[in-house]
Amino acid sequence: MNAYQHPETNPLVSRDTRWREELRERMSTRERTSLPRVEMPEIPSEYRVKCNDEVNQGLSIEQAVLEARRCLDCPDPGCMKGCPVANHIPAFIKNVERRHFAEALEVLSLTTVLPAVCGRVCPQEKQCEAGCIYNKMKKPPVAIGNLERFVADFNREVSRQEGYGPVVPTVSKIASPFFGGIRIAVIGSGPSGLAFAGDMAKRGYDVTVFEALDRLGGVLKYGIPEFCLPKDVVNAEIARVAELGVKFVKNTCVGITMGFDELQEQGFKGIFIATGAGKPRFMGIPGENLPGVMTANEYLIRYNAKNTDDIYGQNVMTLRRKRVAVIGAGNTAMDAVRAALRLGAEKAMIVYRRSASEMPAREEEVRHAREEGVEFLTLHNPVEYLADENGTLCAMRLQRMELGEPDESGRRSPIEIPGAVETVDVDLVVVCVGYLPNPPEQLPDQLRSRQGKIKVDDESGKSSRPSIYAGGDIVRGAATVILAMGDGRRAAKAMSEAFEEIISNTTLG
Amino acid sequence: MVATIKKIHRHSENTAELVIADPAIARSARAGHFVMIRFSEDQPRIPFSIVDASPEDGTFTIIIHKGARLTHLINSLEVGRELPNLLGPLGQAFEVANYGTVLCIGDGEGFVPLLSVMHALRDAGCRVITVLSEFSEQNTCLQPDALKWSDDLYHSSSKERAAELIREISSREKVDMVVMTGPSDLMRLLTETARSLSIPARCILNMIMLDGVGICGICRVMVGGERKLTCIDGPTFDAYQVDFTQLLNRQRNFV
Ligand SMILES: Cc1cc2nc3c(=O)[nH]c(=O)nc-3n(C[C@H](O)[C@H](O)[C@H](O)COP(=O)(O)OP(=O)(O)OC[C@H]3O[C@@H](n4cnc5c(N)ncnc54)[C@H](O)[C@@H]3O)c2cc1C
Ligand code: SF4
Ligand code: FES
Repeated sequence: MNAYQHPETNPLVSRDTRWREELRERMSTRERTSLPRVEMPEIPSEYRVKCNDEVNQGLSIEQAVLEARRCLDCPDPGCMKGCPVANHIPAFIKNVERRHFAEALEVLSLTTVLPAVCGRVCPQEKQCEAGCIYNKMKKPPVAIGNLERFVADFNREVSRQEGYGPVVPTVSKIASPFFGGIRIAVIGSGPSGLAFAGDMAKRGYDVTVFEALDRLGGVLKYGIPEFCLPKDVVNAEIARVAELGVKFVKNTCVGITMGFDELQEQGFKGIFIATGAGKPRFMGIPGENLPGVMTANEYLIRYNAKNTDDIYGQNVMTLRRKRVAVIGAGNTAMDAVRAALRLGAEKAMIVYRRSASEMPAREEEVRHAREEGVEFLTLHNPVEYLADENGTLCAMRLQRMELGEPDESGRRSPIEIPGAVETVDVDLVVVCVGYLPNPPEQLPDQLRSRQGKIKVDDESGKSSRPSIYAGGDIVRGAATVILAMGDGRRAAKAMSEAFEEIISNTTLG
Repeated sequence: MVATIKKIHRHSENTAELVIADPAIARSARAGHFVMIRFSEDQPRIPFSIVDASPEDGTFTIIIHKGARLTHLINSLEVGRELPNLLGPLGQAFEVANYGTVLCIGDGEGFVPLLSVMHALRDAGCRVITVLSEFSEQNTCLQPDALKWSDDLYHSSSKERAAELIREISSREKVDMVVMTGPSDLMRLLTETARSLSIPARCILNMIMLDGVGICGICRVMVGGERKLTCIDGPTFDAYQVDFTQLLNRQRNFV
């Protein structure tokens, strides 16, 4: 009854097809492993800090094919185990090697709705690329993320130039119309909501995504800046989800401007909550409400909107400050500090209480930040922000830290060095010390944890209400795009199986 | 269904009253709620108080009253125009009850948020006394609206006079609550006056907002020692608890 084709039996991804065998025989393992990893072309750092252009320029066709040759098409690929959505990595890479780029995208579309996004923002070094066999040979792993990005970008460009609509995954064509009468509501249009919506639509359900803001994509849109993730790329991937039949309703904040009861009245039978963890956290130290201290969300929303929005006449120009300090060392912090350089900061600093090796940001982003001239004040923790005579931020007091004994988790936690406090002049502080979950208002209390997360079963994403599932940052706290997507996909599988079970247990009379 | 502008009353070059058709908002709007609107792609998203709503007609009313910066916008609006980027109703509704006698004080420019509250308080049986502070030529057009929901109306020419009026009126009759809006320095002064007379006070804050749903933190304010967001926890707060000094500093030196 399930029209959704099971991947293992899908010839698209089978390793035993004739062409894959031939391809494997074409080059020896020694030949393949002697090829150097193709480096991603980047805009030079002196130039890129003066513009908003994407830093990574993407692989050319020849570069991509060359890199694809490095992949050994392992029988038991370690990379796939590291991918939270279990992308069929060798299958798509081998399609790149034989230059069947459209099929490569079809393979990726089996498991992901955001290949161009993930190819750019996934921490591959901790996921797929960490599981690659090349690591065992002490060689750099296959550039899986760069190839994923190439496949998505190439196909997008082809369909744009030929004037086609978005390239739609073929699976949609085999979805049964059987579930078309079942309405599913998704709350939040970030990666988790999009992944869930895409998968449910592929399975034939009637899916509507509600978004509080006036643009779709969640953090991908309002948070991550253009120089890491161009907005066109995100829009094109969302267009592909829409092409699957998913409806989008913007400017609707569920729980505030539309009640859960209304969702029920409108006939929604299943709800997936993917509202993210957008609520900014502060450290609770003196001076955090001074003018000149702001959250990463405020800073990045204003930065991202710089060509259009001016806020009450105070547009992005007022964000152009000489000395900018960003507190924290996650991806958000790196994005913010690099945005500061692009706004003309002479001194852009990361202030982080642990040491460089504990920084949670992606390796590539840290490297980009270093190249661009960001200063890293590691083992420093802000304890107070100071104001000048006008009441505006002028300096921060930083407590020097050192790493203590490892705690139970094995991580060496930072401890204060008594008396080592220094004052550093600064004109703008951006606080990026994490986020709090954003549960919708009106949600029954029993679904919420004390920290405001939604409590669900880890595997299925199901809450204690059978009709409500949740995933992404609202369940995990601030995490990553790919984990959010993985949650969406697992919840789609579990929810659709729940519906199928109901139907298969129903008899007439 | 996309919201559309049903009617426009242009009171002056700087003020326009818009009646907007949007049945869902009309149905759920309560006194104290607001909406966020982006009129066009190159405009920011701006919060507007809902001053009136008619569930029967499926419409609600806002007043655009922002001085010269929005003049161009006001002139460009026309009936029938669709407003695809409209979000609301947002914020916590004003807690309406029969409090007895309520003194409503607002400054000319910023009086708008009080209108729906006065209306609701009157409907709940309160005696509503209004003080219009620092009214200028430009906003006298709000006076008829204010008059409609007031049992008594006073004018004051300055902040200090508005504070004095609280004393005068409360010496003549029992005042059970002060509700205020307008610039933060006015509200700070009025709050101190109300506190010295032990009259409970509510303030409707006027903060810059970006998203209106609690994401950016730009609208944060300290209330009773806790950090609150005006867009989701407010815009109405217990005035005694609000740190106006900090608020004023943030507004004066906006970065
Ligand atoms: C600046 C920044 C940079 C980052 N960089 C990276 C990176 O390089 N790599 C990486 O993997 N991860 C990165 N992350 C983390 C990643 O973006 C998040 O983990 C991911 O977006 C979470 O997805 P989500 O779908 O759970 O939530 P979100 O993307 O937060 O989406 C939630 C959506 O729900 C909407 N919403 C909220 N409440 C409601 C409601 N009541 N009704 C309707 N809609 C609602 C919100 O407006 C939002 O659009 C970054 C995060 C930030 C902030
Ligand atoms: S989605 Fe992320 S983890 Fe999975 S293959 Fe792509 S880059 Fe690797
Ligand atoms: S407007 Fe952004 S948090 Fe209130």
